[in-house]
Amino acid sequence: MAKKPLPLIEAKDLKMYFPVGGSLFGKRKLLKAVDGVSFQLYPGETFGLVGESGCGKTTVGRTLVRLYEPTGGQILFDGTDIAKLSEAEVLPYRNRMQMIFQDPYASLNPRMTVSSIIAEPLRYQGVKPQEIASRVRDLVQQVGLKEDHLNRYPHEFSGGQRQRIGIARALASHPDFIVCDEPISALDVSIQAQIINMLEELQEKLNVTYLFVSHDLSMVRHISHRVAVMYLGHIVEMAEVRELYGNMLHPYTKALMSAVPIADPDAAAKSRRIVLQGDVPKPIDPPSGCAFRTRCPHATAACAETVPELTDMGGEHYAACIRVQRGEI
Amino acid sequence: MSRKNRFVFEPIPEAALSRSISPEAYQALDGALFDPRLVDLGDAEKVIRPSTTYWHEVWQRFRRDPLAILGLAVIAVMSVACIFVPMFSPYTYSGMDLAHMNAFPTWQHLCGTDQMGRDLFVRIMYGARISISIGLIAAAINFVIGVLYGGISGYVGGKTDMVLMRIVDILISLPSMLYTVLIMLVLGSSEFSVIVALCFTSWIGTARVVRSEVMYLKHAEYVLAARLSGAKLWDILVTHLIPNAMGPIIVSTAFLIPNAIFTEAFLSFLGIGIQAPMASWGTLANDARSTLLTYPYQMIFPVMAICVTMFSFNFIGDGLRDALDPRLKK
Amino acid sequence: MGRLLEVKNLTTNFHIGVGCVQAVRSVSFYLDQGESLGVVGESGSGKSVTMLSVMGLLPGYAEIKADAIRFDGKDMLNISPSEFRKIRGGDIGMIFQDPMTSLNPLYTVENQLTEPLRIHRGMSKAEARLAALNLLKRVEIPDPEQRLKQYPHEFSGGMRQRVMIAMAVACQPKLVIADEPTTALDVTIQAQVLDLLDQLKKTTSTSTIMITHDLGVIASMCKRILVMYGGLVVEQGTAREIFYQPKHPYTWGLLHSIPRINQQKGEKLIPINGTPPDMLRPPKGCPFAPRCRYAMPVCQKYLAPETVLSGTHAVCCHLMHEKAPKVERQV
Repeated sequence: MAKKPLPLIEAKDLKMYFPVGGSLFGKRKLLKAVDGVSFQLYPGETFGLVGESGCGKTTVGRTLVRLYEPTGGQILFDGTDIAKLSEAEVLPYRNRMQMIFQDPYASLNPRMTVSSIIAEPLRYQGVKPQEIASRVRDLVQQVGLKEDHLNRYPHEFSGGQRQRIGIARALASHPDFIVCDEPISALDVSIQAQIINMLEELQEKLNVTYLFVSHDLSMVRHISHRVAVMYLGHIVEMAEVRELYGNMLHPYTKALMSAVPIADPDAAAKSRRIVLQGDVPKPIDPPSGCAFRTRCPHATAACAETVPELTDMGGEHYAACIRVQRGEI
Repeated sequence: MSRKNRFVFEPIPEAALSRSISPEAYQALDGALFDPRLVDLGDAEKVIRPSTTYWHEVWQRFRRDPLAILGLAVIAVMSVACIFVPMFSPYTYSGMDLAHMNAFPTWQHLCGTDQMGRDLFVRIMYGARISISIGLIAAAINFVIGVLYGGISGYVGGKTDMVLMRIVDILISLPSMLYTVLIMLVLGSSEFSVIVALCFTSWIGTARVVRSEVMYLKHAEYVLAARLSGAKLWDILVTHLIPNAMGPIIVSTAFLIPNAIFTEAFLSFLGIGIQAPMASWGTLANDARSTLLTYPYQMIFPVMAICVTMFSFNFIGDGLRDALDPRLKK
Repeated sequence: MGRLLEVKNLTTNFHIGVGCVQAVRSVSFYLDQGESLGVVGESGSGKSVTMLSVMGLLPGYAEIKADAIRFDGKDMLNISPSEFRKIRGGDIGMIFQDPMTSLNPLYTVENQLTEPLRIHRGMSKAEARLAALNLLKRVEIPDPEQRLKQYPHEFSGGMRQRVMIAMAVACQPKLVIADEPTTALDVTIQAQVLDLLDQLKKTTSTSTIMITHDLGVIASMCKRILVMYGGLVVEQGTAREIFYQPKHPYTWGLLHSIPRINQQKGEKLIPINGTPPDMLRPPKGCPFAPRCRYAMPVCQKYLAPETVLSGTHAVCCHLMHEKAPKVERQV
């Protein structure tokens, strides 16, 4: 078996807590958006991170690129821990990691032309103006737009085109790692495929690593090599994509997958949806022990006692459920 | 059949409608029309609408407001007049024509003369120079201080924001007249001290506006993208936050100008601002106090000048606020 | 004939300052009693505007023209606003997309639920309250007694959507129109809401129209489907016909751009190039022509007439013309 390459990014017990509410003198509550998340990302792969709202997947993405300073844990970027570095110390790493945002209408400064938007990362790196100009022209073509779009403003473009401008900006500094935070959720179905294909081509050409954060399970399955499922700040299951979708272990994963409506009338008629009872608990007040136990059809009393560890169930398929680990379900 | 509607609609021009075709004609269509190789698809990524910038659209909306244009015209005329009238007038602001003291308005002296035979029209024009320039300078200084203070406070947040805002609260809780007068007394009376007095606290309104805009805008995704690209505080403020907050900033600054003009006139009227024989509208009004009943025009003209100027700037401010209002944008 | 809803040749134009947005251009469809119809399309397709036009919920600058709009045999085109209000809420219920803004934050849930019952069904306050309680039980909201007294902001998104559904079915309407009812919800909550809608359909035989862009939702919830693009219905048929024997290139494009379950790893999605049309200046001829890989010169000149393929299946495409080349859909 070939020796596994070293991970480009490794999150070790990553924690991100946000203080919420409270007054100047009173106690502030802690919103544990990410509560002990560990995983590795290898060069050139796409790692899918799925979950519903409030699970913490967006926070994981933003913390990895140091938009936030993590409350705890480590982020190993190419071996160096960047979790606790100051803003100035993180600066040299900034052009190696980038992000593509969800909302094509909010991710571009409405007062800047397309060329200045794309050129911005290069300006901060101190690249010479002529080089900037030629690189911008290069990037614009790479994302399928034209040179005469360069002097226009974002409001003149459609959602899909704006997202491409965002991708061009993310590519400007030759990053090794790009967090794609729901990059297609705000787009029409027929445009989503354009963007997904473009992301795949760019990965093949440039060997970029993606963290693909999304709630769209089918798209994640299509584009990812490995996938992790999150619930209320924890990873509950993680595996290589075919293994995860073909052999689900965790009850939440099973419910999540069965809830996705199938675009096929006959298959839809035959499928049985596992309908979970109740709402997603609020992240500010998670249940004790396993966060999923309040909605889990297999919950027992023991589930309330300890937070289950993410354990390898064989073949690098990890699951965080005491009953799965004991072989009961 | 149309649904009943109280509006009467214009029919859509023929050029914008797509055409259907009768079944017989459809069957009879030429085969060449069905050859895919003959189709000319053009550009799928074309951007159709003409390019307009944000400020161009703002100007279009501003133009449609008659009061705002009137205000702008009046200020323009007054600015031109206050530069050129004193140059071409045979009178100076201090030249006394003792033969024609307290003269009522005539064609020679458009606003009459004052107690010392000085031509009021020219003096009002000099006053305009003082008032408008003080107004603009004060607004510019307030703009710079307010934007930086509010921008930094809003963006950095946390304890810095708290401290900066408490300072502002303390400053604003003292009556401004009190330390305006104190400053004038300490620095003596001159244009410089008037400007200092004016700028002492009037930047606070702008600062608060900027702070609230920045607090909202700093969470925008394009700001996050800028942080990821390595932008520092200054870059983010100048490239991203302030340009997008320009609307409310401009409006707040525009309303500073009439305030500054009025405050200067008031101080001069009280005798602690610009001193006689300099011709500020305030000093002119002050000089005319004693002759109010006998020669009312000596008070009326300067006061009218103040009113007209303030109205004009207020109309401009209103027009700007409406033109910049994002709710009006499609 | 006995069709519940019949719409013939509906055209809706929005007359705004810069011009006229041709949101809906000659749309015709029908709905039988007890049927579930799905309308699928993207932005600019006109799917929402079509239903809002039928319901009379558009602002004054919307010009609505049709040969006929008939609901339960009654003409809906020429009625007054007050007659409209009687039908809406009473005979037709609507569920909107955003549960945050479709409930009035200032009134309790009890107030909002009982209002249609008192207005349309003439119930007394006590009767209406009892009916509201039962409605909340039916939509499976736990602790309904408590919930009645609460305000919308105290409910989660999924709960609010259930309240919306309760309001829509309160007066036991003949037709329920749901406009993107689950788009703003999480997947597991969406499953709950769809399950609920399914149950309601089965127990009350209400007809439903579901507007969505999600092909999965359409496949599981609707018997018949309208595919809309650029203000027109480009294809309509039963769910099986649309998914297994589609005939319009746009439908093919849609089906190919979503990842399918049995797709092989490494198989690329086939996107539709270009962007949806700007209905302020729609293209001449077929609106899909600029993005269609099978476009022919005739597609840029004329709108395609409807070709009827079976009792339920019809398509508007010039490829159906006998002089057009035979095209096989790429599987």
